[in-house]
Amino acid sequence: MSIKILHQVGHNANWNIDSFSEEQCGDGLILSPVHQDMPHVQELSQSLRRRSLFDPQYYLPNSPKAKLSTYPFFPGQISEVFSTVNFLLLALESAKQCVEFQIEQQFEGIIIPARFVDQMTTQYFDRQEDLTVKPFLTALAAVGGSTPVYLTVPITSAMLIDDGFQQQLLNWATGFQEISGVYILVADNRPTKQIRSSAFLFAYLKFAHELSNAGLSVILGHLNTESILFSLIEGVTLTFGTFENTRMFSLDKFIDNEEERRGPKARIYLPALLNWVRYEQAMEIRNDNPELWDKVYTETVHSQQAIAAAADPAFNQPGLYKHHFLCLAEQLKELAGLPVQRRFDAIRAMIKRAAELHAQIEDMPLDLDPHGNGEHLGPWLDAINRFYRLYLKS
Amino acid sequence: MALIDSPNLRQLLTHLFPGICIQENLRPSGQRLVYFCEFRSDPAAPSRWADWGDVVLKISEDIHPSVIARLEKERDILNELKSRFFPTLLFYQVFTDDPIRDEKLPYRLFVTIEERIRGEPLSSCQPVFSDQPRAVNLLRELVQGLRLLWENPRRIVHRDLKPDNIIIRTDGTPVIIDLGIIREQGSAGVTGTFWNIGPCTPGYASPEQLRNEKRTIDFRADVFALGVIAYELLSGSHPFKRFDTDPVDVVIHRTLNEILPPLDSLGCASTPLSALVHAMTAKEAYRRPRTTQDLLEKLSAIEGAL
Repeated sequence: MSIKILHQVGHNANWNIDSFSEEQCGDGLILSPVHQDMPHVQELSQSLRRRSLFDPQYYLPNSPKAKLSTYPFFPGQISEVFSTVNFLLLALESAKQCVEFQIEQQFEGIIIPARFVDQMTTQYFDRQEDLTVKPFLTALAAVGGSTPVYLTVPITSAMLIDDGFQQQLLNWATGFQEISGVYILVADNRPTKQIRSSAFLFAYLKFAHELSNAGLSVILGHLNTESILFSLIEGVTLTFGTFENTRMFSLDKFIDNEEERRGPKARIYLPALLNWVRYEQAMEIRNDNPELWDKVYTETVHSQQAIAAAADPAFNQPGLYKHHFLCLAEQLKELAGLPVQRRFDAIRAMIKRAAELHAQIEDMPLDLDPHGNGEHLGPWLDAINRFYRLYLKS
Repeated sequence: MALIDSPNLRQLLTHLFPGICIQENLRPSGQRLVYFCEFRSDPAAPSRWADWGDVVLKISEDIHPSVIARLEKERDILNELKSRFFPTLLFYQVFTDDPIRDEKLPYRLFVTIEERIRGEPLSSCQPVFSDQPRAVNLLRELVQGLRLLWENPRRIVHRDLKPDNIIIRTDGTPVIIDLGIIREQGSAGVTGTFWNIGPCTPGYASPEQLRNEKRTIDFRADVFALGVIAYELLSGSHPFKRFDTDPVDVVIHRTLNEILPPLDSLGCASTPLSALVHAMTAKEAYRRPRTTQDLLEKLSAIEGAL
């Protein structure tokens, strides 16, 4: 089975570009206009653009973010004062320009953007169709061509967990013959960095599975380390990113928040734990229990440099993110090479092993912080077991 | 109120259409009366009418102007189609005046005149298509025709595919009739077309049509009906209607809830064909073939392997 991994570009796009171009990590990028202004995107090499997608990010159409305003087709830019009613009149023009831009830049496919609508009513579908889907399909029909077209489906975890609404979403997303794939983003309002709801994970796995079964290419955006679980979906495209706002979808990054915030604590991805652990706690394992450290740590050139440096790494330095890309890509590559039954067995074994290792850390004793401990592993196991029972077991 | 065939109505038609010769009153279709007619040369009629020859005339009454406006758009689409898979629409008019009495009609008369297809409905010749090669060839032909509707920018859905609405020409090729021109006209019809839950025919209508989930009804509702037709052709019996006397609500219940035994388990179809028909008749639209191209490719592959 083939699995593609795309960099979900965020702040410091160069980190993703370096990882992809210099270390051949990942299969391409999903470019992010809220972080990359138009001239910067146009200046990227043609070979990179050809392997990348451009997410037009209409999620918050009146977003005041400066970089978005460099794109003349952005909803908040094409109409002087954005309002839904105003934009309806300009939606086709916006679509034409956006399609033209994506074709001119020769991206690997064309993304039909979507507004983020969190209401679980038929308004969800009406708004998407009126504001973007129909205008974009009209614009695409006018230019023709065979470039793959992806429909953005931004949703919430509640929409997935609700069986009835998920069915409506499936019927809707599979109802456009012109598209070849879907680009899914799920906002999940949770207090933890890892997903700890087996109901959400199961519903998300089922959703992606049904879309893939319907013959659509499925791109799952803004994934954290749960991408390991989603490697169970045949032919899926997974994503990874640097800062948390590229690994958890939310509208927050489209709000012009001038408030200065303290950066998050530096964390390191420890593949055997299937988690990011606070850097100073990771160093406690390394220093106090080297044998256990050898079990949980996978060395990369970036982690080696970070550990060897005189000062502890900070969240705004690239090393630990690039380490994460290399480790996760390797894990996913190994899984992708397995037939589905063995892949499931391998993921299950990985989760169980991670739980054992977390127990050994606790036995040191060392209590990892709530975001770095293994509490997500039980729900992960529950979710894939149920998914396997109902959808994969022959 | 449904129109009734009567001497007065026939007299009115001969005044509205000089040169018309009404030959036969067929079974009503929905709320429409249907006649086989022939047009003969008449000095009071436009000369092109005589060129029409044998036609099907459908007539109904009391249509809301908003429906007429929508129908006019659909008429334009039909005129665009000009395909061997659909009868040619020759004429369409809403009449408001009574030429006999020279006064307003008490109701609007909506008249369409279509080319008369020489052949017989699939419902009368189903056994001819019971073997797999013929059934698959027929399905592929129907999909080729329907794709003209499905892939039209207006995303047209027939919504009432059934053996009665498929005419098999004498050369064996199908023609799809009764496009949903006046599908939103009114209440329950008399040919099995059911209106209370949306315009459709229970037994062939998809679950989303039966639940009147308008948002979900797209070309895949037609795919469902084609799947039912295929199942009926290959198995020799209707999957949801076991007896002609089955009440409509029983047929609806079965359509919504019963999982059909796979055709290959009944010895009626190859495994790939059985799987395709199974997918076409899936209760959920998203589990049916997602594109016309996909459906055609699967049918061609099955046809090649038979």
